[in-house]
Amino acid sequence: MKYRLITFISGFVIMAVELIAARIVAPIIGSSIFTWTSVIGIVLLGISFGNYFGGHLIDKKPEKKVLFGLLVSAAVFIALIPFLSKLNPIIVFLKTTLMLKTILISAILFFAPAFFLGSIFPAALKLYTNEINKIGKNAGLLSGLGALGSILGTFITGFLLFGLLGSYASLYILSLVLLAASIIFGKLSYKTFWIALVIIIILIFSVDSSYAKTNIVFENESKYYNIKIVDSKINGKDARVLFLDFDSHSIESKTKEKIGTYQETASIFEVFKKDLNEILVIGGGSYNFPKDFYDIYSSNIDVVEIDPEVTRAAENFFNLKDYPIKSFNTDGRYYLTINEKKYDLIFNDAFNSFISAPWYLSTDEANKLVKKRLNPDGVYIANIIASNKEGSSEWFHSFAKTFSNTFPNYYLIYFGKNLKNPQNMFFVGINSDKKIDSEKLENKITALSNETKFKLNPKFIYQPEISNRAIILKDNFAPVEKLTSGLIKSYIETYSLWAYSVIGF
Amino acid sequence: MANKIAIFIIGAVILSLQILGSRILAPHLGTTITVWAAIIGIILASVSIGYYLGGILADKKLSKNLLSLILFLAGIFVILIIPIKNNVLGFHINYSYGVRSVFSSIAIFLIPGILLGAGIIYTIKLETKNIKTIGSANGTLYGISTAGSIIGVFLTSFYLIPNFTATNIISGLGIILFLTSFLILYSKSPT
Repeated sequence: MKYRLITFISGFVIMAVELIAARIVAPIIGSSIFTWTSVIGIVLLGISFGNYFGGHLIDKKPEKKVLFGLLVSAAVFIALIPFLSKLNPIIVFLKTTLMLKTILISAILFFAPAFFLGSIFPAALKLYTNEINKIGKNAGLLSGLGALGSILGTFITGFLLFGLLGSYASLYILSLVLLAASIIFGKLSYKTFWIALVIIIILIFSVDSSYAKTNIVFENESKYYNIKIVDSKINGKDARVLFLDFDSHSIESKTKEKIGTYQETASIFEVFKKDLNEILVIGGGSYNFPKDFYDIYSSNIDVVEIDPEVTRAAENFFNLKDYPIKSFNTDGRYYLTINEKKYDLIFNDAFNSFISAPWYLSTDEANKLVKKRLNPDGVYIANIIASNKEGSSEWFHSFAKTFSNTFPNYYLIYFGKNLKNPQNMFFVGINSDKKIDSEKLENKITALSNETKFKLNPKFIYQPEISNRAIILKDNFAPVEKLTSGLIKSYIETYSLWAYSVIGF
Repeated sequence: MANKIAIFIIGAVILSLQILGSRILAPHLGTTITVWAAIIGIILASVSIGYYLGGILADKKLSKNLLSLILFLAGIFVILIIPIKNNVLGFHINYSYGVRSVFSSIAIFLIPGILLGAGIIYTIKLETKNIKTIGSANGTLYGISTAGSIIGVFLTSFYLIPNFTATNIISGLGIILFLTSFLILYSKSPT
């Protein structure tokens, strides 16, 4: 019985740690495909070495004491994860690629716990099996129980533990569960048990007491993000910034005065369509665009925000409660698929991250779906971070080519000195051949620039030139991570320095 | 040696499917936590059913031809993911989001997962002959299978998805399973 129980528990803990691992790395360096891959890869590597190590150890010394030692070691190394994660900003600023940084961070945090967890299975199998003929059945039974534990570990962690406890507390609980389980195998080693318990308790308190940051107004771990709200000075003005994991999603002024960021440009959109009665915003964040749309155009506004906790944070810290805005907490593309309502403006603000752009919202199929949900003359605006500089422009060109395939009548609005700097830019597509009054657009832009004392200086291009190496992104083939790799490389250091200076180390 | 290659390939294919799973489901269901949990949960569930059935089968009848058959069938069901992905997933059914996520994952992964899981345990039984070295033999084989999984994850994320269409990658996985099936069939191992 105890061997079956222990493989079940170790299966549970392995997947729980793996899921939590991705949540721990995301606030440090973003939740890109690199993050997911490094975490899964390192955990598997640890398990694989552990399998080998555990098997050889138990053949040499087929005793229960060995299992006890493995369980206690796993417990201690899991409790060590939050403590070690505090050292990670050092690695973020190493001069190396994003991929190597994420692998390094994952290895420091998760290799040792995965190693000891992986060593438990062969040890338990050996002690459980005393007849060679039954090895198939026993290996099948124990593996099945381990996998069953893993399934429960995945579901319970994803759906319950994150929301209830957050990632650090979840790890401490898992660590204590392993330690408790070790007692079954170690009646003779109570001293080791108590030493381990004391170490774990010290670790728990050492991390909690290091949480004393003054400018963080609110921090919460949801199923999707580490949500941080930070009060800081931006362009010399009092501002409130919303971070989702590593990405700054929204910046709002705390006074009536404008700060001069691209996020204060909602007033120019009426140039593209006169009556903006029905508006859909994909990607809420602090809801800065939806709120501005309401203030300026008094439209009916629907917002799709994947994370209900982000909506709640916007209500409590960004005055969303004062607005009659309807929120739908689901995936943007899924919302577009199942809701047939038509809009005058669809504003896609889900590409806030340059590290992990949601690829399935950028494809040809996604654009065609958006077009179906637009009124005649309706406008689709996609807000992306990109650069047109040689070496980091692949994302820009392929995004533009895909966009223009569905919306050939389109404008590009950008905010930096020129298109070469990595920056936010709006692709504005009109669902007809109607040309806009460009003089009016210029006037709007000048007015906006004056209001922000020239901190914001938007420019626009009609149908920018697209490189002939660009591809049309499809659901079946959308190598967004590859296309953005040049951009990530050229932008990550500047961005990291800015982000850590706002949040504080 | 052939058995070790087989268990390596199986490990790689399972994890490659898992990474591809999110690419296949995202256009229909997005990438919410529900979709991730459904993919990981259903793959683990089907692999664990496979472990169980594979163990029973291996204790009843042990022959390399049977392993070869399991791998061949796995190859067929992996390739069948392509028509399922293109025709079945887009259907509008009036069920809740969670149910749709779980059913889509089942449609894609259940049978390949069971077959691949069964393949792992079956291979282990073929390779284990001595009660004294059960620990190290199993540890080594699991190690190899997990090493395959690591390669599966990294290769799929960093090389295959950026360079090939999802359809081509799935066909490739199926073909690799066919080749492994032939390798087992024509290998010189005694059983």
